[in-house]
Amino acid sequence: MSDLYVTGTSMPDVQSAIEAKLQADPSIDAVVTLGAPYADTAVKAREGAGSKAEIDTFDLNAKVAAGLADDSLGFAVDQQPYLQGYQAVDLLWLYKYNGDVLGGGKPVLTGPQIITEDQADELAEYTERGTR
Amino acid sequence: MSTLAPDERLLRVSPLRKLLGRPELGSVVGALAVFVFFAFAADSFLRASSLSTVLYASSTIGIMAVPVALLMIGGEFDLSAGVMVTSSALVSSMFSYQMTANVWVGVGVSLLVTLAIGAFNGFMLTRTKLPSFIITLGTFLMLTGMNLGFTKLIDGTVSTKTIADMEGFPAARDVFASTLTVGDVNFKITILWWFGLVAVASWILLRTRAGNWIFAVGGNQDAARAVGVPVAKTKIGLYMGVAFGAWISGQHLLFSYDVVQSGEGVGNELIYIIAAVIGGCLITGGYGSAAGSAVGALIFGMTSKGIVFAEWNPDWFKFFLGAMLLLATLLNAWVRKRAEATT
Repeated sequence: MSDLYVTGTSMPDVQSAIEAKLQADPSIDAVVTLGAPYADTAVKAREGAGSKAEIDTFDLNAKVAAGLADDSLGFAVDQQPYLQGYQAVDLLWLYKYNGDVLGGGKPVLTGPQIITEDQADELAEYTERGTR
Repeated sequence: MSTLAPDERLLRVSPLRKLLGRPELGSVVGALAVFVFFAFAADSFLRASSLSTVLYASSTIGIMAVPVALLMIGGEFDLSAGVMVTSSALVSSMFSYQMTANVWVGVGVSLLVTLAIGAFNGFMLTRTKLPSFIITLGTFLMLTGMNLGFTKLIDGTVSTKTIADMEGFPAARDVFASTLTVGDVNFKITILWWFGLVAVASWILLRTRAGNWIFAVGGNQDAARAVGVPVAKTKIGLYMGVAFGAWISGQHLLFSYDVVQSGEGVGNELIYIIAAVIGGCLITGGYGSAAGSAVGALIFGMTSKGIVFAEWNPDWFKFFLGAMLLLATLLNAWVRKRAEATT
């Protein structure tokens, strides 16, 4: 496994850097991007480099959901940031209002969820509105 | 009896020296050195497909480096150039989407809006007489805020909605973001845009009156005004040139990825300036060339991608990048100095 740093504020740079890496080492069989916006760019880089590597990503957006559905992406690790924010406030309110404690006082996991082609279609609606 | 030394202006200078003394040709030596270096350091660098990747990376910098170089020859900076590309893409995308219009309408509106931003930069500069560094820093920050603010306001998220299924998209993608296959190698169309811009900018600089004005306002603004050069018009024109480049880059961004991330572009303004300076533009103005900016962009593209091709430890990427650029530019400066020496 090896790292590749890209200039995240410049998509063409991201694309050409991933393309260069895939061309330099044809044995690479998977690319994992650390942010949803870069997944589709990695797919383009894969095309440009003529590579067969699987592209996977952290995080989710509408484009990633579409990529999972059409099989250009393998899986997405969704840490459910909306839940991370919303659930904490909800738990706090329940505690203040009702003295409720969820999860027996232990950490309540809000994710992550591994998303593949199977769940992609039902997610389209939520990713479009930006809550997933 | 001592003989007088002949006037230096009458000295015969060998054509090779003259050639090397041109602003861009000093940097060509640096580019060649970087090329030869990576040809040896990275096995995969010399493949046609790899060179096409390098050319693509260089072209996306080069398209903006050309007008930025002209602006620098004219003695000014534009710190808003990086985010202006994103603004241009956002305007085009959101206008088409919200109006459900043919994407070409958005492209046209985007051209007008982007040119207006450029004109605003130039107008503010010539009216207030503040340094361009301050004026365009203001524009840079305002555009960064507007990119995010408007995108969140209109689309609810930090990126735009896809316009890939809209009318006119395929044609616009052909113009701004297509891939041309020569033999069995794919070349991005941005390379053609880049070469085209270099040719047009070189013609303007070297063959037109406006070109003389650009050198004059960058060399000595007051003297230029005294001999009747329209200083304000020239500078506003130069800023609109940068805006035009931002429009091309922005449309490439949009039609290449069909969604636009509102936070993009920050930091690129420096890379455009770097390309222009490596290519022989003086930071103080009055000297430089359009072709030089292209060579500068090529050096930057070759170095940043060459390090990946060479598979050096990525943790040290920025160090290698800095060291290589420094060495290439030192070589440029050394060649130019040797070439300009008359004896």
